[in-house]
Amino acid sequence: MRHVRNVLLAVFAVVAFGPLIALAFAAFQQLLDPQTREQLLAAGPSLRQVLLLLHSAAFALSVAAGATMLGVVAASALWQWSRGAWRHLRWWFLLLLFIPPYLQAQAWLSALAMTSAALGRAAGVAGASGGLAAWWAEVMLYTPMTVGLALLGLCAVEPRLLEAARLGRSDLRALTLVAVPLAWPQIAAAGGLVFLFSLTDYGVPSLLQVSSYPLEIFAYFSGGGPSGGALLLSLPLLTLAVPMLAVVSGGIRAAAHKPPGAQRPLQTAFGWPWWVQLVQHVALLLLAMQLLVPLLVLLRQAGSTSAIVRATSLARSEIATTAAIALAAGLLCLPLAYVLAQQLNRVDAHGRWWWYATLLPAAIPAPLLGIGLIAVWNHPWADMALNSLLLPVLVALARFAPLAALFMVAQLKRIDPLLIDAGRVFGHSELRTWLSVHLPLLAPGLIAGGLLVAALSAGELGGTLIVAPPGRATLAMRIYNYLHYGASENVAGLCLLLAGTALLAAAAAFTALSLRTSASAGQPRGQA
Amino acid sequence: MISVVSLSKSFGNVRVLHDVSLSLAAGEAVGLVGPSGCGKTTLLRLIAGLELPDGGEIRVAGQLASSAGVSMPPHERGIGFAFQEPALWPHMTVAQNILFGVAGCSAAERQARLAQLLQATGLDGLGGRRPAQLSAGQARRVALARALAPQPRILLLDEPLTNVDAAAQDMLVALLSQWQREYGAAMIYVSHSLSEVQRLCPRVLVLDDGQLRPSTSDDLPI
Repeated sequence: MRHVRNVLLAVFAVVAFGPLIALAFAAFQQLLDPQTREQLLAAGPSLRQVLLLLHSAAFALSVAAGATMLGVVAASALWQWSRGAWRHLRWWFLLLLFIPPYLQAQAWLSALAMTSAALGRAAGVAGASGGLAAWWAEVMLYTPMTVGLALLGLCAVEPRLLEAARLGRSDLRALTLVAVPLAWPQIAAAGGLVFLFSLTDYGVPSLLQVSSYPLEIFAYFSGGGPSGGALLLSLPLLTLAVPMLAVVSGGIRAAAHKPPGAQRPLQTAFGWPWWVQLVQHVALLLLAMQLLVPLLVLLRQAGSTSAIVRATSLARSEIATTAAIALAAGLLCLPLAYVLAQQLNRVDAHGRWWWYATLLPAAIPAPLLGIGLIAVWNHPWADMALNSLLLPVLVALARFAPLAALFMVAQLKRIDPLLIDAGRVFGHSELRTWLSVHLPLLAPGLIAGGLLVAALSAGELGGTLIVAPPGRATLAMRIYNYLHYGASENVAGLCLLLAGTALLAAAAAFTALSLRTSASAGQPRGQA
Repeated sequence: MISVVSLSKSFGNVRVLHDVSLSLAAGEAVGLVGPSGCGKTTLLRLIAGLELPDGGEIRVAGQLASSAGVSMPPHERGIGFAFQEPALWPHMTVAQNILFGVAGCSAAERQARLAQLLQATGLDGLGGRRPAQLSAGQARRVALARALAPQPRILLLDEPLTNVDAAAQDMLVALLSQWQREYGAAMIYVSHSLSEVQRLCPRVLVLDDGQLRPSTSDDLPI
């Protein structure tokens, strides 16, 4: 078993970090070659690009601040929904995370344009492009993530600590002085993740006609620049992004080690001041809007069912390609994510480094990953691989297998080690114990992880756009091209199809996890 | 100071308290004993406003604090509570933990009260430490000091001397006795040990099968 695990870990390392290593090697080679040296060194960021990077970082910081504040307020409202069916239903907004970002941004773009037209304004605050519109779209886009992590943090606060605070101070003071500081690792991780995603994404800003540094990397490579130069150009971005992993990994680790449902709910309702309740309601309303606006806008634009059917039939080839990538990524991620989860579950000193290594792909801009994969596979002997869907699947695995691992480590935490020991005590081999005891207990996490990777792979754009084989396109690529080069009535239909499929897969994953949570966490007990 | 009338509480199908009535005047100390799981902690939590009763009512200083559908916020009840577990906030120092509930007085008064409590509980010099740097007995003493710091009108103590060594127990019993006399707090003291309770409380009640009764010679420790 240990050998299999080591091989799988090596495979993950090659998939996730091989592209970067290949780019570093290519850069070194290009530096030694006098013909490419000048071109490579010219890739070093110019003053304009440095200013653009600072602008992108400031923009990402403001998005992170906005989404985190909104997330904490909404989480403080959802935190109280800890009884009955609400205990599980309050997590379902997380489904929004699996709708591709550019779809949600496009919906907000349309909604802002409609609002602007309805109010009779020209461009401006409610205009449908520009920095403010991009900021709003990204804050709304990432708020479900910050709500989720802040809620995980608040739910992990031990009730007795909160009860002790409620005896001495008002509920608001108990929240700000005790609950929020104790949930701070998760809240900071949420802000850090949003910063990373916003800093490394170019899809949403480019839709809203806002320049961003990751777009420079994409444009550089698309313009025929050497692959090593893309790495050189990315280094300032990575310098900003990688240190953020320390903040992110600590909080995510804390969240994974205290799965929701582990704490009993508080027995008496909070008594918030009226203005806190008002702010909480506004935050919840915005969260609801984040679900409803894309849905309503897309439904309105799609027009009729026949338009959706027509759009679907026109994109049959893209749908087949997308399904193939999603299926392959969903299945292949399972063994990789499982062995990663085992390492993340370690409590020794090495455990922390595994967390950094697992989350590191989140700091790598998707275009750079794609460029790196091209550098690895762009050889005559790999023609078949370049012309197949292997590279898009590898992009999906590198980007999303770590996410599946996070789900699985939370599942591993729920498995009582005594159950595994009991299987071994009764004389079964390690493999048989794993198959008959461990695997069934882990199954919900495996199913959820696979479905989520499939859903996210279906919407992946940043890397796929670079590595897709000639003549093959995914649904996300088709939609993105429609959006950029003239949207047609088909685009809304395709968006609905992609969003609906992603939502269904994510809903199935959540159901699997919810069932397991309620079965293993049991019902809260009163104290006597 | 506290009036509990016909209080009942169940968790699912388990009836924990049934028709419990109790009244305490200011400055009065009542000991509460009973077997594990008999509902002692639940009664304290109900009085503190951390649980809602299924029936009956609780009045604090004449005001209706809890009944079915009514719940005065815990911090408005003027209660100091030392939980079974110390429940210290790990991100705060010992001093910050103790002074958390102290409001409406000057910084100098707060410091004076802190110094007094640290000395009285044998925690001199530990004000700057975090809870993780304390022994179990020290953490228990911090929790007790935190309950006393706001000078509450009601003290609820749930096995406050667990994990405290014998010498410190004597010191804390003396402190509680003096504190209660000085500030006239009503006190409910919960313990498994009748002898421990009798050191502080002239009146002892037994909670058994969800109901309260006065202790008898049958309850005396052998």
